[in-house]
Amino acid sequence: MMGIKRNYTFFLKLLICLMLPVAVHAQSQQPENPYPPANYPDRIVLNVTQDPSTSLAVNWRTQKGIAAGSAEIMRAASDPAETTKATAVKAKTETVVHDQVVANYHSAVFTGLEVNTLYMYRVGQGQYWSEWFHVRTAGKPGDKLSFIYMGDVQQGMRTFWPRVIREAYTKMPDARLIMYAGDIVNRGRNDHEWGELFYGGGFIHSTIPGMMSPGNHEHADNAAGVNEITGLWRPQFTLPENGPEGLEETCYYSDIQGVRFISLNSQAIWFGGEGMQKQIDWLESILTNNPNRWTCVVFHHPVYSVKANRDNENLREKFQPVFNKYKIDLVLQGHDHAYGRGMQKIPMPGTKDASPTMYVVSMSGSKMYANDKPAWADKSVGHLQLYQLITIDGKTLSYRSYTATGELFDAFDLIKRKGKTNKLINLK
Amino acid sequence: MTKMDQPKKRLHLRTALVVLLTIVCSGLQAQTTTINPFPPTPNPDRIVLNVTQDPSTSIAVNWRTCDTVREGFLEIMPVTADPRIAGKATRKQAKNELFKLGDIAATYHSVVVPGLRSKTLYMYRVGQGAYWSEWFHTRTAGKPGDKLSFIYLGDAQTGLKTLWPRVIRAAYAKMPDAGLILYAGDIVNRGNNDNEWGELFYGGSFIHSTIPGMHSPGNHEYARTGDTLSAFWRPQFTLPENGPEGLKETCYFTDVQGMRFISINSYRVEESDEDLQKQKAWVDSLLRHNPNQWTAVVFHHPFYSIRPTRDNVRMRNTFKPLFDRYKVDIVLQGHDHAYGRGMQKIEGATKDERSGTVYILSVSGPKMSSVYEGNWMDVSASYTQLFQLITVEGNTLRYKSYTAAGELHDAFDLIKQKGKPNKLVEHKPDKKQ
Repeated sequence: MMGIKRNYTFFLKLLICLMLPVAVHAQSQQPENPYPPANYPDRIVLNVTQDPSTSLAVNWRTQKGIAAGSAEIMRAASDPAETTKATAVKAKTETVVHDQVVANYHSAVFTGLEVNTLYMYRVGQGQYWSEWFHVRTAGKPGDKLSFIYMGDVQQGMRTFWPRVIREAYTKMPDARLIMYAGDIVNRGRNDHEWGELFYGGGFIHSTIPGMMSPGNHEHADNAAGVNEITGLWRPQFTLPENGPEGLEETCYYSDIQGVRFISLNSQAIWFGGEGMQKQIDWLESILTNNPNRWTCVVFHHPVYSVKANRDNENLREKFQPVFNKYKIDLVLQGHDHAYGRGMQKIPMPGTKDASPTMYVVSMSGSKMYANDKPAWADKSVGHLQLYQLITIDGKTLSYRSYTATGELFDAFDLIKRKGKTNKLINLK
Repeated sequence: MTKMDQPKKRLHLRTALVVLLTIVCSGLQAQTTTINPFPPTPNPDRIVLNVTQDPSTSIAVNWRTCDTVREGFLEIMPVTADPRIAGKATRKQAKNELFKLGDIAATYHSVVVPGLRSKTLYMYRVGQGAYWSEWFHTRTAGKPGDKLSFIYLGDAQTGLKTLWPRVIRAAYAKMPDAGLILYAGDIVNRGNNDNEWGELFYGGSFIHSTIPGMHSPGNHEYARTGDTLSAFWRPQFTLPENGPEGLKETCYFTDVQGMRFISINSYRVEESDEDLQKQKAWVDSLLRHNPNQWTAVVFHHPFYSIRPTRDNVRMRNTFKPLFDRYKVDIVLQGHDHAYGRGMQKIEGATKDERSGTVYILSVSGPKMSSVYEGNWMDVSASYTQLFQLITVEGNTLRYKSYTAAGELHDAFDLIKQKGKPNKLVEHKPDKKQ
């Protein structure tokens, strides 16, 4: 018995010895950053500017040793020899230490561009350049406009979400912007989640300007207990700085082909107080002087929720009256991980009319909640990955929502009428 | 030792430290500049879909990991928009092949999935353990008679991560429902440079994993000296092994929706009598027993070149009689770094007949030559990156060639006629001014 036991112990020890290198090896692989900054630019992202018909903003990242960068641009040419004619813009470079990753973030704004023109651009320096990307500037008011709207990505950025943005892109490669209604990642402070997002979208991020609006998941309490936007947000995006002070690049607007696109920081609204009041005043000011025919607002926390236990009172009580007053056409939101859209059953206080505004909540990633069939919604659903393709041509806004697999799931048109609210035509 | 000496000693130490650090740092810096930008990792990369002999019922996928990953799986199911259902996917075990070349040590994995439904959108992913790719969508081919779309690219070869990516992306954006992408050889510049394949896969990104590729090798996929095919070719692609012995996965065919696509290894035709004979006999039998309405042949070295010094006599003398006899519809080639398309000025089987086959050579990457002599050409171009989108529906093949910037540069229709050669209808865009 003793002999067997001793043998057993010896065998166990031998087994541990044999397994140890394997365990160490496995461990050494695990914590490696799958998205380390390198000499070559990565996370190359185009952003909307205040006027994307004449300017474009681009951000990218390198390792810290690459201390400068520039962006080159020219009209798209099919003869490679012509690339020597490109114009260079020197980048702003800042070193960011975040989530134990040290990187340089570079940004450049191309100005003085021609409207509705295909350009080619690249970013980098020395021997380390990105590929040449194509991008088309926005057209003029009245030109037909196409854009993509994505609800929360948040989870599955590198599993289930890539197919959604890729399907959306292949159905609408001529989209002039992609709107993200917040919770773009799950933990805004986690560098690797942004790495997954940029991996998932691939070159699409560098080809169609993004209009990013932050959600609660891009915010977190800092050491002082103050809720603030992730330290990666402002270095990695160059969004218009035309919003209220202290909310730059989260609350802003962009005018594209006769549509005013407005991003609100609904996290600051949810907390109330000064961060909310500033946005009310600012919103009033940009809606009073709005030369555009159409107006579309994007933010994270919905005015009307798809989930029974979720309610964003500040948005409904303080912002819906402003939307009503200025007859906002379309409000695009996220947060609820289910789909709902409604207009007909939402009352306009003080009148017998229905809401002049269409409210939509959608989701694109893999985090899903059930559909609580809210009373306000004309249509709702749970457990479906979706993307939305929207086209505005003259008096007609055509909205189409597709499942991740490319099937048309929801469709309506909004038609502008003189002196009346938009006519809604349900098509699905 | 006086007290005064102390700081001096410290200074020496500090100097030594600085020198040491400088050496170490410069060493590190030198190392970072030569770092492999595309190292294999536990996460699958270079994920590529390939044509099979029958892409309406099967797909073939290859991918790469670091060499410590010794197994791999592919999961597949018809698409669902509800992520909860992905648990129902079917799992298939991969073949795993250890690969070593220079500093590169990797495992190449490959899976063929048979028994799929035609014209069906599937989702699949590859990997193992904690390391999986994203889910990709891909549609199986339809049946003969269904409308077919495909992309044809001339040599990529250089600029794989500078000026080529925009070409494949523009082609994909214009034809995302393409059933396959044809590459007419010289896909990279040096077939044994891992870095170049890394750039190619970077450039095409998810497109490689979404639309099956039909890769035909060029001279640049062969080593500079000797006759060896790129060491990467067979591990990283799973092309149909239905060609002649010794030329597997370079000379092969696939039947897609009533069109027979044949890849000829033109480099081996030019280099070896034995490989010429083998391919001649094989192509002859394939064309003689061909149930498809349409036939396209893809290879690298063109029958007709942009200048006399680049003539590929062996290719032309071997295969031209077969293409004439069996009425091959379209021949897609590369090699010359320019654009040429001809049929009307080319002889057919006899001197009195015109060719019934359209011959095209094109280029997708930025390496360029000028067109010097083109007396066989109906249309030519130089110094222009191009991509071609082709659609076949019933009796009509519609061909369009676009510049990298998306402008239509050449277009024609081929129309099948009973008992007569195809009718060619020109749709050349009007030349500006």
